[in-house]
Amino acid sequence: MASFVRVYAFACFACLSFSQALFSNIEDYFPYKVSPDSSNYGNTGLLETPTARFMEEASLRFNFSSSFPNEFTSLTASPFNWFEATYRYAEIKNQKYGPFGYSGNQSLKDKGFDVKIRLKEESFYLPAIAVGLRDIAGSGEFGSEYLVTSKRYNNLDVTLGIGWGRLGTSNSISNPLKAIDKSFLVRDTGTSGRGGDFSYSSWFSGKASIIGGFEYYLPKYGLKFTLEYDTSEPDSYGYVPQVDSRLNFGLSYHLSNSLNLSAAFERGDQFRLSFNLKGNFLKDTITKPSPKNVVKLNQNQLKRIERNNQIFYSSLNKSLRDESIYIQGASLKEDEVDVAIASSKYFSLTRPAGRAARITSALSPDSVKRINIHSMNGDLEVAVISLDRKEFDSADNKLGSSNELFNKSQMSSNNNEPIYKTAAFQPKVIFPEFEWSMSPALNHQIGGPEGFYLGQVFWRTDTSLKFRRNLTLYTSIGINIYDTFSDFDNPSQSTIPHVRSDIQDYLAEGKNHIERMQLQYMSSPWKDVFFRADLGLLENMFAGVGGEILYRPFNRKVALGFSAHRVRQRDYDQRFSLRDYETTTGHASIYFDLPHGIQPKIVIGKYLAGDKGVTLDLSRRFDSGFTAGVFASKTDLSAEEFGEGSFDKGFYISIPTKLFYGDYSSGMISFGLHPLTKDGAAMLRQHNPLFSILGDTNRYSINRDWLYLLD
Amino acid sequence: MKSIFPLFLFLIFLSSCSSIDFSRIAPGYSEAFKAMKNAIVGYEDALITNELVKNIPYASSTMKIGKGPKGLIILENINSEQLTWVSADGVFLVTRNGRITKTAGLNNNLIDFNGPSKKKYLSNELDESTFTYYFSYDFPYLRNLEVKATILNKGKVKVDLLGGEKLLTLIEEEIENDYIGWSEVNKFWMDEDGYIWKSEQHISPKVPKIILEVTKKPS
Repeated sequence: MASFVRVYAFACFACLSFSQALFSNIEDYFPYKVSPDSSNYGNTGLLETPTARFMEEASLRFNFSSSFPNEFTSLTASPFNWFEATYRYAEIKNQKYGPFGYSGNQSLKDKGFDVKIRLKEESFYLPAIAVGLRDIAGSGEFGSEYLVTSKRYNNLDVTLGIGWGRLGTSNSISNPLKAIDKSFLVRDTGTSGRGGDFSYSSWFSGKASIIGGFEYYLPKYGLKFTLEYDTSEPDSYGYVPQVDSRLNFGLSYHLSNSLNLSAAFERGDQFRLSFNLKGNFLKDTITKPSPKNVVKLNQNQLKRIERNNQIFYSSLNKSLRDESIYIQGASLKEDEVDVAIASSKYFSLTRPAGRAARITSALSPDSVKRINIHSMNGDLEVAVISLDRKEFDSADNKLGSSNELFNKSQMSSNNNEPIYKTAAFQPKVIFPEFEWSMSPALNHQIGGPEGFYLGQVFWRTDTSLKFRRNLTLYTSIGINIYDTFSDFDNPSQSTIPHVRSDIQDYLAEGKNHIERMQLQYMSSPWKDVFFRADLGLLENMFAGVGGEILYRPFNRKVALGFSAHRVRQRDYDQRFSLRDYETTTGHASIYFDLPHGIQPKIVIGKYLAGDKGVTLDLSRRFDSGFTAGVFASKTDLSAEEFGEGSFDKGFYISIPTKLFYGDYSSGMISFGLHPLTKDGAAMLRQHNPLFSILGDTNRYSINRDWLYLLD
Repeated sequence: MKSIFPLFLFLIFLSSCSSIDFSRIAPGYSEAFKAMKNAIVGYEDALITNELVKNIPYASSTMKIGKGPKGLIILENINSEQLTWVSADGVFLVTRNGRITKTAGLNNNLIDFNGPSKKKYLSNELDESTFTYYFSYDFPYLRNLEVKATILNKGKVKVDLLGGEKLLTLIEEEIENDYIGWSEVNKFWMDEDGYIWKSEQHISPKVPKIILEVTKKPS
């Protein structure tokens, strides 16, 4: 070991001695970007050994890594450049999931969750330092803790650290933390009765080992060579009694900046094959079409418009349509013009507002000094951006700046008196208005004892029938195409009302289903107050009546919501019949908007099974719209009543579809994971939650997206 | 209840059958398909006709970058040997005797090109010769990337241009930087007077191949 330390010291020393400033940025010009990548477990590391390296901020990585006995499938996210979180399924191939009669030949699956935090960035002289926890809230099968340092010298990246738990099982040293407390010497090895508990009492305790290794990059060829000293045992069951070698070798090939393939030879006798896919969603990197050219009207045409405003309105309507912006009302006055717009194409509010202002300015008579764009989402007016026309035109022609324009603009919200009701020009809409869309969709259950993946492909049809403004019937039906649900054999054992845990019955009996058939009414009774009423089949499992009210002060970074519903459980076939269980559920919520896009949410109330408690939700939204978040709920149910997992928790990721396409779109790809479907802390799934419609419409959101106004 | 279900479906299809709007069928998937198709096959070129070119009072060329659509660029400025071209979406190119020596408006731009004068490296008499060029870039910034170039005269070939077929000399230029493993072949098609009508050029490891074709020669 001492020799290893010496090599490390030498490497660090070597960094100080030589500096190749000449090639300081040529690295960016290699055909491949070979960089630290996924470990076997998913987060950034060598093979078994973690490093102090991290993915870039706002990255996601899917990793699949297969060997015997352990195969890992994981998803890693980096909401900050100093933080990585990994969710992982491990398949332990030499163990059975359970008795044969229960789970057949299925091998043991284990869920795990890791975090890694950077304590110090790498500097010219000193290495980066990180601390991490592996498999914290699962059965603790791979439970490990580590403190690692990494230092890069040209194409060599050297890592050295201390590992506890599984990482510290071989060639151990005496636990250095014993100096703090003698209790660190003993590790509580028994896994807790229920998976899902944090077993912090055993963290950093027991045996410890020096861990380390290095990576060597060959960016010209897209290759990376890895060598590590592996102090972990391959399995805790003793099926692989002897390890032939403590050295693991790996070679990976970066096929592209997003796809990486690797092979490894571990412990002297095991091969491992892996691949990972990664993406960075910090910025929108795909060029989008710029606004369509608008030709300014000549004096003659402007005179005609002044004589007949209808010409103005109809040309405005037509030009906006070309940008997929739909006029909801407009008033041309002496020195200002008001335009209410709605668009389902754009992700942020400012971009369509800017495009509408550009068109309005091109068509307006010279006397118009201000352009007021009233942005609408559905039939709710959410914000008014009042622009100084002269300032807008000069910023648009790159003679002025967006900051100058910002300083001369006003933002407000008169949502309870929407302009479309009083505007001089109101486009004719024929009610009822029918809209529809259809596409294939998936339903699935992952990680159950009957089979790792049971799923269904179905054809989903969504319709909306609008009777008048703000009153709409939403329907969503699914027709089965193919499914594997007949294998279900794991009925709920829950001792509390089965509000969610009968999921298998819902999936199996409701292959052809009506997910939703609900009448919704929305309005804004007072300034900054929004209201929604629901009636009908509200979601897959519940039908009923209720509503939501949201107070979103335009000038504040906080919003308050309250929702209440009287619901009855729907039958498993998800058509029109109901079951006996009936309850009242409701929650009060508070939403915050903190710096760096951090958006905490606190929800307090009564959940579907009648339990009362609180849900905390913490997410980070990047300027690109990419959002990653975690949530956890604690209700008055005991850990026994709740069952495996002890309390409800999960994570979610949403990626705007515009980040993948060459045009704007408002769609989102959302992925949420509840490791376990439990009855405790279950909330009603509401269609069109008010905060999702209005969360990004206050002054601060407009301020944040201001640059898009000129784009 | 079961009997209502098919009826409901039928009604939905009936009401929409008269004018099926395909944009509503799997809109997300069709967007994804379009994006994938563009990434693999490339974008469709805009139709550029002789008429269109004639009606524009300025000299023009077509430019295609990688799999992007082919578009028209217009000569904006002449400064002795340096010609500045601009595209509708704000990409600027400076060419010197047909070679791109500067760009602006791309994700990665050539900010400086250093090489021997044209007489030395591109001429009808030349058979084979080697030179050293230096490229400088922004985003990310890199000063003087050394590139070895070998020039080969491939003889006369017929080239189909917008204005008609021309018999031109094809000059191939192999460029290479061994350290980063960048090696490409550039092609220039030149007439008797040494004027370059068409070229395929690689200006940076981070910019895909640029194809330029003169549609209206500057007078």
